[in-house]
Amino acid sequence: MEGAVVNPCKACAPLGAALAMKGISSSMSILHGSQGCATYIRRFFIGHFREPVDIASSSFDENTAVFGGRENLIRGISNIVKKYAPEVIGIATSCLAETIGEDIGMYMKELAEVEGVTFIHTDTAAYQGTHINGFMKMTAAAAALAEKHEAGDSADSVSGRLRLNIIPWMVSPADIRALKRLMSDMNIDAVFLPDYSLTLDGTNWSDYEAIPHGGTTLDAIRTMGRAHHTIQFGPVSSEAANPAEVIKQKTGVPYSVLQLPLGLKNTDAFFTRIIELGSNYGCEVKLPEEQRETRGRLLDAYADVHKYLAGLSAAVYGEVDFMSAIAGFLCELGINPAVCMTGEQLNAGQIKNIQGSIAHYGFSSPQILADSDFADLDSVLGAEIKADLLVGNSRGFKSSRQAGLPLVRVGFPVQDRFGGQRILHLGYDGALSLTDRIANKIISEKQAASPVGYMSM
Amino acid sequence: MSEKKNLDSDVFRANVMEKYPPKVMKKRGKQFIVREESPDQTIQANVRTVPGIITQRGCCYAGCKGVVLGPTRDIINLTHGPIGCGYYSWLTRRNQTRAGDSPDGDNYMTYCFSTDMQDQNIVFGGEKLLRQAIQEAYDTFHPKAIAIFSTCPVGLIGDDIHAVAKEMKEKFGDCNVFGFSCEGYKGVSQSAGHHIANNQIFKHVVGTSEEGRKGKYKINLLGEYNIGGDAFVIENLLERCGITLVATYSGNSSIDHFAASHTADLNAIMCYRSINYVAEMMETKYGIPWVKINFIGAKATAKSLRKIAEYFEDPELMKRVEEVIEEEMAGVESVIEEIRPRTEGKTSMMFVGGSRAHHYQELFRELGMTTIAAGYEFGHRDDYEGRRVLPTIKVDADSRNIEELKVEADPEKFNPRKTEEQMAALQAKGYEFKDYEGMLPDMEKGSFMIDDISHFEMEKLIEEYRPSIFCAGIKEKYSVQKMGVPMKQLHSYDYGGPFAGFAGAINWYREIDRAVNSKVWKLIGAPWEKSNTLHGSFVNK
Ligand code: SF4
Ligand code: SF4
Repeated sequence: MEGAVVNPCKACAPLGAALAMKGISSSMSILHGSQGCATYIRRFFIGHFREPVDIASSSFDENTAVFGGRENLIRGISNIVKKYAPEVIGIATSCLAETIGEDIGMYMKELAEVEGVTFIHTDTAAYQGTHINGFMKMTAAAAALAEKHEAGDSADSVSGRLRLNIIPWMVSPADIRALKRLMSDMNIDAVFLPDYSLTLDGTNWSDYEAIPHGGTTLDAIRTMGRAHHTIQFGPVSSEAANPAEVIKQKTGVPYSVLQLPLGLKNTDAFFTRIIELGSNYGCEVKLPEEQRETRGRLLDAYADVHKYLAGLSAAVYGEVDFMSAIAGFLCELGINPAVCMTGEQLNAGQIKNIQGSIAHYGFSSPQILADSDFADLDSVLGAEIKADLLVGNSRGFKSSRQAGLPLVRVGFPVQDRFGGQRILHLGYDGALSLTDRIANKIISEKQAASPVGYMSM
Repeated sequence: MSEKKNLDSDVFRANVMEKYPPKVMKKRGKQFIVREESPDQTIQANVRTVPGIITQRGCCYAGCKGVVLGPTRDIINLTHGPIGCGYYSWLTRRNQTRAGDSPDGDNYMTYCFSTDMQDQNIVFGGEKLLRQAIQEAYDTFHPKAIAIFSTCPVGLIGDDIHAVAKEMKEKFGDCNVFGFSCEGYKGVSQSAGHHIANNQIFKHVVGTSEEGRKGKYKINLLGEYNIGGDAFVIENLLERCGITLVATYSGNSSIDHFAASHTADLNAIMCYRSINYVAEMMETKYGIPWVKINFIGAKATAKSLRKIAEYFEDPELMKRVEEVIEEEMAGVESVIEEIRPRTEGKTSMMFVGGSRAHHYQELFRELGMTTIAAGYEFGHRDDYEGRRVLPTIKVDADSRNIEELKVEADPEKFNPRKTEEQMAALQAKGYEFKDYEGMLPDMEKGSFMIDDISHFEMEKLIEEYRPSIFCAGIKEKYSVQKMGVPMKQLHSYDYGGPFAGFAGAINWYREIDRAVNSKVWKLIGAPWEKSNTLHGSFVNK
C-alpha cells in the first residue's frame, strides 16, 4: 500500500537502542521524549523476554515539546543516578525529541560532570529507520568507547590465543550464550557487544537487584581495541550503522561482516573465517570435535526430514538480515522461500543480493517485498504465491491464521508463546533444533488432519 | 493492621522517601501516604511523573486509542505518526468482542493501521499521507467509521487531522471519519486520552441514530472493557434480569450502539475514571441520570443489580433481580466456604488502572484477605477521596490543555428520565446518584495509598512487606515473580478471566487460591546449597 501501513512488520528505532543498552553491564536507558514511548517499549520487551526491563523517560510535557527538553533530561538523569547508581547511561531520542531538534550531543559536556557515570547516546527517530537500525546505532555508540591498544600492553603477553570482538546482531539470549560457549571451547578471548544473555534471560533473584547483573562491562568494551579482529553479523544492517567500523576507526582493529551463522552454509562460513583468522594471526584455533559431530548430525537430520519438507514453499519475514538467513536455511531443507517480506527499505542492489543467495541454492528468485507489511504478505499469499508455512516472529500470527497456514515462530518478538528468549537459531545446534521444529510442525498438521492418526512415520 | 505495623508504615515511608533528591521527595511524599484514621486525608494524584522515575504510566494516545476506541470492533483505528506508537498498541489488550453480534460482522480489532510517517512527512507535513491512508482504508474495507489518532510529532508539525477528517467524511458520504488530538505529551497519563476519547465520541457519534435496542429497562454500561469476557458475564446477568443493554462503553461494542446510546434511560458506570465524562455530558444533553455500580465481587454485583432495579422502581424487576441473585449466590457461597480457610488472613497489593485497584478489593475481602497497599496508575484525586473533593481539585497546566466540551440540553432530544421530584423521592430513600466514595474509605489504617507508584517504590514495598499476592500489569509481573511473590495481572488477566459478576468471582477465588498456595516458591532453594533463603538484603549497586 502507498499511504497506510496495515499490520506492520517493524518496530521503532529507540526499541533497538534500548535492547543494545541491556547488553551493557550496570547500565540504564533513558528515552528522551514523552513517557509513552518508553512505556510501550518496556512492555513490548517484557512480553518477549519475560524479564523486568526498566527504561526511563525524560517525560516531556506540552511545554517541553515547545521549549526543549534539556531540563527534563538533566533531572531525569539525576534521579536515575540517585536511585540506581548505574555505571553507564544510554540516551536515545524519541520521534518527538527529534522533531523539535533536540541535540543530545550538546548536553554531553554538562553530563560529563556527573561523577562515575559514562554516557552513551544516539539519535533514533523512528521516521528514519527501524528497530534494527536503532540497535546498530546504539551498539556503534558504545563501540566508540573502545580504546586504542598501546604496544607492550599486558594483552600481548597472553600469546597464542585469538582475540575477537563479536557484534552479534539482535539475536536471542540463547544465541549469545551459545556463541560465548563456542568461543571458550575454541580458546578464543571474545568480547561481545552487546551481551544481554543474562540480563534478559536471568535467574530468580536471591537478592533484590536494582539493575539485573550481566552484560559487557565498560572495561571489556575499552579493551576491544586489543582484539585481532572484529566479527559483525548482519551485512544489510551494517550498511546503515556499523559498530565494527567505529572500532576500526578508533583503534585500527580490522573487521569482517558476515551473514548470521544460521543454517549449515552460514555456520560453515563463520567457522571458516574464524579458523582463517586464527592462522592469519598465528593463533591455534581448532573446530571442537563436538561441533564436527553436530554438523554431522545436522546433515543427518537434513537427510531425514528431506522427504517431508522438500517441495514445500514458505513465506518468511522480519528484519532483512534475519529473514535472508532464514530463507537460506529453508533452502537447505529443500523448502522454497517463495516470498520474503520485510518492513525495512531495500535498494535494488540489496534485493538482488538476497535473490542471488537464494538462487545459489537452486531455487528460482523469491518475491521480495521490501518496505512492506503483513497486509502485503496477505495479498500475495491469497493470490500469486502458494505457500505451505510461515516462518517468522509472532506478529505474523494474524496472517498465518488468515491463510490457514502453520507458523513456526522464530526471531523477535515471540510474545504469544513461552521461551522466545531461549530460541536457539545460530550454529549447527541452532539449525538442528529449527529443523526439528519445522519438520514437526508440518508433520503434526498432517497427523491432525489424518482420519487415522498414525502414531509413527 | 495492628498499631505496631502502623508505626512501621511511617518508618518505611520515610526510608523510601529518603532515597529521593529533596525536590522529588517533596512531590512523591504527597502521592505516597499512610492511611490514617481521619476521613479527610488527602493524596496528590494526576500530576506529571518526575523524569527519570520509572513509571507504570503510558501516554494520552495509549489511553485514547487503546481504552475507549480500541475495544469497538467496527471502527478502523488509524494511527497518524511514526510506526512505533501504532505497532506497540497492536492487539495488546485482551478486550473480547463477538463480531457475529453485528449484522455486518465487521471486526477491525485485530488490525493495526498506521501512516508510518517518514522523514519527508515530518519536514513537509503529513496531511497528504493521511488523506491517502484514509482513502485506502475506505477502499479496502468500507468501514462505517474511521478514527484518526495523532501521536506526538503530529502535534508539533501541525497537521490538521480534524480538517482532513471532515473533508474525507464529506467525500465518502457513508463513513464517519473523525480525529483525536491525543498526542502523547498531553496530560500526564492515559487518563487525558480517555477524556479526549469521551469528548470526540460524544461530539461525533452519540445521538446520531435512533435505532437502539428496545426494552422496558434500558441502560448503558460505562467503563466496562470486556477484558477476558467480563462484559459477556454482565450481559448475561442483565438479560436474565430483563434489563436491556443499549451500549457498553467499550466492550463487545459497536459504533452503532454508541450512536443510539442516548436512548437508554440510565447510565451505570463501572470504571468511573475513564468514562465519567460521557455520563455527565449525556445527563446534561439528553437527561439520562447516572449511578456508580461495580460488578467486581459477588456482593458488589448483587448490590449493583439491586441499584439498577431500584432506579426503575418496578416491583416486578426487583423480584426478578432477587431471584437471579439468589440463584447465583448459592454457588458463590459454597466456593467461598471451601477456599476461605486457605486464604484467610493473607494480604494483597494492587497497583493498577483507575478503578481496578479499588474494585478488586471486594474480591479479596470475600476471601478474607486484606489489601495492605494500593494505588492507581492514572487515577485522579476523586478516585481516591471520592467525588466530594471535586470542587477543591486544582486544575494544573497539564489538565487545562484538554478540552472541556460545552454541553447544553438538546432542544429536541432532551428528555429528563425522571422528574426532579422523583429523583428527590428516590434520594430521600437513600438512593444515590452520581456517587463515588473512592478507594480511601475502604483502606485500613496503616495501609499504603500510593499514586503512580515507581518501579523502585514497588520493589521496596514487596521486599519489606512480602504480600501474599501482588496485582499490577505485565511491566511489573516479572520483577515481582523474581522476588518470589505470586503476581496476578489485572490489565490482561494473564489469559484468565472473566472475573466479573458471580461466575467471574468464582473464577477469581479459585485462581487466587492457586496463586497464594502455589508450591513452586518452595522449590527455590536447591538441596545441595547450604543457604537457600530467598529473602536477602537489599543490594544497591
Ligand atoms: S513516537 Fe517514535 S519513538 Fe515513540 S513510540 Fe512512536 S515511533 Fe517509537
Ligand atoms: S510518541 Fe507520543 S503518542 Fe507515541 S507512544 Fe510516544 S508518547 Fe505516545
